Amino acid sequence: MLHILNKPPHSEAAAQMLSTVAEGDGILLIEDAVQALLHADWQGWDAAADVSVCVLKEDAASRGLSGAALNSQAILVDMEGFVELTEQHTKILSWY
Amino acid sequence: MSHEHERLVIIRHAPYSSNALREGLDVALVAAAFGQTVSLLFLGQGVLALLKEQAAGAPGQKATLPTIDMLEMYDIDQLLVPQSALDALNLQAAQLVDGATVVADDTLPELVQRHSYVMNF
Repeated sequence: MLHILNKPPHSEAAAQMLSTVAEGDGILLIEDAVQALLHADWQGWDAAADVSVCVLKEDAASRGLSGAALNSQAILVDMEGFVELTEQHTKILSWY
Repeated sequence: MSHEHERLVIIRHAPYSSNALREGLDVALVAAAFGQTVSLLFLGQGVLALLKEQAAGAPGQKATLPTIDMLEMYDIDQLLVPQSALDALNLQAAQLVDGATVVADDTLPELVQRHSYVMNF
């Protein structure tokens, strides 16, 4: 399951997403969700075992967070990587 | 019980706040009308759709409760509410419609995982 979040990391949508993330899921942060780069202690970074957290590079760059992205544990993906993620996961759930 | 081809519709928006609640319920009813097994999970503000004392509001506003009551006729009997969603709104299970089932929060990942189709509203 790939969870796509476009709301800030401490929004209700984010909390709801985190309550459903299971082992082996993927999380992709886009739009306002890339603010999670400013919160190293965000719960989503270790939501469950074996969960990879990706950040859409373009959205981090447009929000002035490229530097924060490089210093974080996030996996940076571009639009092509976004497409690849949607191919890798059989189910996709958007949290908006 | 296998949930392999069952659908889960997640409702996260309160009545009247947007069209999201109505759209989610419509999707659930349409899927059920086509013979699919559908469960509903109410998160956050979505729980407000289950309050049994909901009455008619301002003229022209379509009430939610008749739609909720209709779910059972479509064999949608899984109306799931996590305990934390109730707590966050200071609600008791007794304030919800009879069909609602309160579930533990730690069951949610597995619940979402085992449904082949999950839709978020």
